[in-house]
Amino acid sequence: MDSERRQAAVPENGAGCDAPRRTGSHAGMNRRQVLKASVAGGITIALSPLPALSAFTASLQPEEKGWRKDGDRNVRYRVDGFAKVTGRKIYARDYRAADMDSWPDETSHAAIVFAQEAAKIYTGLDLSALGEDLVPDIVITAKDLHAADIAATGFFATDLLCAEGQTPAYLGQPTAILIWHDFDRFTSARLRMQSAGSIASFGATGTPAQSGPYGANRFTRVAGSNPEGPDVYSPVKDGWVGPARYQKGEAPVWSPAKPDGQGPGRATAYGEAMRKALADGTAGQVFGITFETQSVDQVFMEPESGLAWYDASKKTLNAVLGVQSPQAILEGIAGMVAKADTAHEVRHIEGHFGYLGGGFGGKDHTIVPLYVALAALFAGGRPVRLALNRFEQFQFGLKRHAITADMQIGVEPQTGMFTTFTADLDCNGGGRANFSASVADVAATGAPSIYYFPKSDVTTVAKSSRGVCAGSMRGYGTLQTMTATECLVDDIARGLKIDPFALRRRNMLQTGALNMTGNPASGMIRTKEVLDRLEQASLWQNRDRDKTVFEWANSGYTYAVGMACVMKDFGTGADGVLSSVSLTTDGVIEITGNVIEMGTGITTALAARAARRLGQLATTVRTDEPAHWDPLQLVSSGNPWGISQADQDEASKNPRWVPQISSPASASIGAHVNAAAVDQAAEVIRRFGLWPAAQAIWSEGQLGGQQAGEFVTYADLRWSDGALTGAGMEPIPLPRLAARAHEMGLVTGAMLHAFNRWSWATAEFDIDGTRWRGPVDALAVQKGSADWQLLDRTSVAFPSAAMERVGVNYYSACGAVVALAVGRNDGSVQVLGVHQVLECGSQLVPELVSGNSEGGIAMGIGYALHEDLPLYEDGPGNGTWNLNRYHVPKAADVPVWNMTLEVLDPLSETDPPKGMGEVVMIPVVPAILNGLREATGHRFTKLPVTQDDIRKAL
Amino acid sequence: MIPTTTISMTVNGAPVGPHEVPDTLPMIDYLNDHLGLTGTKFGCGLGICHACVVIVERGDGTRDTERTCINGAASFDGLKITTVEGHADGATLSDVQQAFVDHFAFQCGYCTPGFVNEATLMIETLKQAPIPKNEIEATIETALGEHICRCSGYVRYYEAMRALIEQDPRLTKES
Repeated sequence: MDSERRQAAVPENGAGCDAPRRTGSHAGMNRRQVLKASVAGGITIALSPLPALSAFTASLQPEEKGWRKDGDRNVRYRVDGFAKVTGRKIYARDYRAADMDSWPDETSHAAIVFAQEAAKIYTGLDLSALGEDLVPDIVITAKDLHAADIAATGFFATDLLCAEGQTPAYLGQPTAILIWHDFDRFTSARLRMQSAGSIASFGATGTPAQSGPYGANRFTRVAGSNPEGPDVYSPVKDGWVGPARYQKGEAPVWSPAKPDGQGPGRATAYGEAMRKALADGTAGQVFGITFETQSVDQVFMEPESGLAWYDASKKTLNAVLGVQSPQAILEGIAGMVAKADTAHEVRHIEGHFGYLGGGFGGKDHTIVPLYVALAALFAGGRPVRLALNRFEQFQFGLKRHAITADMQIGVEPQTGMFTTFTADLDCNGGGRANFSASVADVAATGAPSIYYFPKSDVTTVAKSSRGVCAGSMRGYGTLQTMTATECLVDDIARGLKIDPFALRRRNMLQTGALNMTGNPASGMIRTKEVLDRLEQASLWQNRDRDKTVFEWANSGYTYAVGMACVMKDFGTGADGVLSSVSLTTDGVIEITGNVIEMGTGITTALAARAARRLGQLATTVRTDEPAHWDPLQLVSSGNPWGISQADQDEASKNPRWVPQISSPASASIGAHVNAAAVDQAAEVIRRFGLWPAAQAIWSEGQLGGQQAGEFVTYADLRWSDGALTGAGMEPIPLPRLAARAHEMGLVTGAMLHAFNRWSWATAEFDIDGTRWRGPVDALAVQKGSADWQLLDRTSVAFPSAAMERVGVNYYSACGAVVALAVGRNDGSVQVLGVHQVLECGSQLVPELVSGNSEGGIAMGIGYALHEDLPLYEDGPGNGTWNLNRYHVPKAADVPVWNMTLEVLDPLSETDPPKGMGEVVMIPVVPAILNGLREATGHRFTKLPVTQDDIRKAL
Repeated sequence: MIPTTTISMTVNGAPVGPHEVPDTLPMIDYLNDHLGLTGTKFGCGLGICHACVVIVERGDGTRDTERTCINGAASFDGLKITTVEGHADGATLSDVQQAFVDHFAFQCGYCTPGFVNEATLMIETLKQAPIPKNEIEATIETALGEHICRCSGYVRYYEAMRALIEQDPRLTKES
């Protein structure tokens, strides 16, 4: 649900030459290239589910109260429901060495020592607080890593441990790893360390090494005479624009304006012209806002951890981890040890991955697993567990970016039509490169939200600082910018005395119109329906009556209602997924997917997706298994986000080549991309297995049997109570069909790969003499046996390389109406009710959709009113932050009994499911702020809005 | 030397111990690492999130919930403990567990063990002292209000308990 993203398109109009974009700390080398190189170093990687996870079969489910029933297309409860509610071992944090087959039984325990300073020189460890009895058995320092030639590379490149004599690069930078072989000594030592505050010592004042901005871009668009295009100028038409240089290593400097040139100077010229028009009034009446958002913690309930064992005899590193991005993490570890000395040499990495106790983006490309691996490499052959406590999670875990957004909208005052949108975004990425450059881009491309602007100019920069590292988090930058936009639009409605719904309808992006990058979004835009339904919500319609009633019953409180509506992208622009569906002889449907379950319910959703083609829920859903995908023999090369068309054309001649093999659980791609792969695998089975099997059964008997009297086509097929029928034919239960398909050697299993770059790769295959084209680029089938037969694609069409310029193409829309009460004396706020309207295509499992919405609302309330982390010395990097001073919403902060959701019906049953895990968190935030403005008359422009802020405003 | 204590207790109906453990060993570490019962979850370590809650039965038969991250294992010596692993009867879930799965109450599930224990105690309490139907929601809010969930917004946890209480006539009385 939440979001990795997007190696955004490389500037192609010259800016890239004199202004190299930085992703991670390796300018000029993109993330994926670095990672692939590390694997090419000769280290093999295998991913496995944890033992309990690999056995999420019917045998684990209580027979009388199972999550599914044969023939039932509805999920009774989550696939993982029984395991979670009974406390089974499913999370990485649950595992010890004794739980792992063929590992030594004893577990050692590790702790990281973090720097609580970033303005003083680190002078070393002071272990005196531990006493002689609790001194760690092993201490790992920067010197050890240097001596072993171990260093983080590529996306994860950073000084893993701060060396003595250096100033930490950021607050919370690790300085050492300590290992105890005895659990009781470990827990006792930890308590003493906690009491001591920190055992890292510091001396004279120092200056942290600043790495400079992580990235910047400028998105400038000038529409032609039609919203549908062609544009005069846009990122899609003319390429993305990066800065010429950075002033003082901080602020992007854009190329000099060249109105008639071909390079990035055109963007500057158009952008400056827009800003001048806003300044001199020729762009209409101008409304502006400077909006500041805060750093917050993910607070997933399971703090990060890992268990690892280095088997020196086999040069194998075994690891148990809980991350959203397994492949990338293992590649990161491989890169780290690629040049390691003999004592730490790794030839093979065996990764086991668990369900996640929450992720929200914070376990996507997290660096913690590299420290787990380090601990194992230096533990003398003993398995080691490294589990952060909550203080450490606050100190070191990835944060949401604090963003300052300076926005202006020009409006024709008579009509209320928007003419121009400008914004300058400044994102604080902290002291270690992660996804900041990408977050900054997505914050920018998401800023216009549901609106159409004929002219727009948005600059965005991701800066480094000495703060704790920021990375991916639910919303991925758009929460911050869309909140600002929705507040500004509400201010315009007030300023022009236009109904807020009417103003939004007047200016919303219409189907076919070009968005800020110059791209028409995929499918129909249904914002108007969302707004219409939202406006009819009783919280809105009855707001005056409700206000009267409430304030009469609650003297001293002001009742108010706010609304907001947003449109959020999903997908990364280079999503690769794998799926296999197999049908046993007795009709059991088995699914395997390269998915990670972080709580959103993707495994359950995949089981449900199979029912569309196969008539009932899948029986088993497995996450990745080692070597499961080998039959496809996939290879990949190049950067899927930045590959040239020529390189792609050349590479695609190899029928085994795909642009991207697999993607993390991120960017809300589960329902859309992962589910689509399952859907297509099921379709291959239905088309080439069940359909001919059904024909064989229906034509049995004299003179062609029951089928002879009708012209039955594939399009006639329907499922009814778990049986296949059509055109009046006898319904055939799935087990009977499956048995016949196996008996006839028809297709009974399909394994495939799919790729999406804002459009699906498609390929043609010869299946049993029939040409079949589908949105897949690799396919293998089973025919009545467990063996996979690999099929060569006879033609393939990958989305053009230029599609990457699109930046955003898939949207889901969500609006919220919030009722709240403000204490006139104390400034307190109580959210009384929330109604959301959501458009997300076809819902796979409605209970999961509404559950995500409810959780998003709670997280939004926390973001708007409660959660806040100081960025620097007083913030989480100092190691003193925990839930005693960081307020995560409890039930009392949430309108538990008054939270409702309407989901638009799909346009038809063939609508694809859309990613919705992120969008449902966003509108509640600006709706609260707009409600507060209604209640107080004051526009709050800094988050969170605290009780003290409101009291002062009152 | 680390000061130690010898403890014994009953966990999920089975006697455990005697075990010699550090005086300062948190109960959650005893459950997770000494007994291998990892269903009890570490969340904050300060007793705030309540993910680590277990049910404790004292010598006089009274039952309560306790946080295991801030209470030492030694303080549970001689008591009867029920963890999340101790509720289902084989493949049959307890009523509370079944209500939670039926209502899709949780998502990541990491906070679920604490909710299962707290809700179970709430239901036990209502069996002893039924409440008027118009107090159901307030009762749930009071019983579960300290438990933090980051995924769900609490709605489905609470709705599951409301449905469970409403459908069991032993738990409510006329106003």
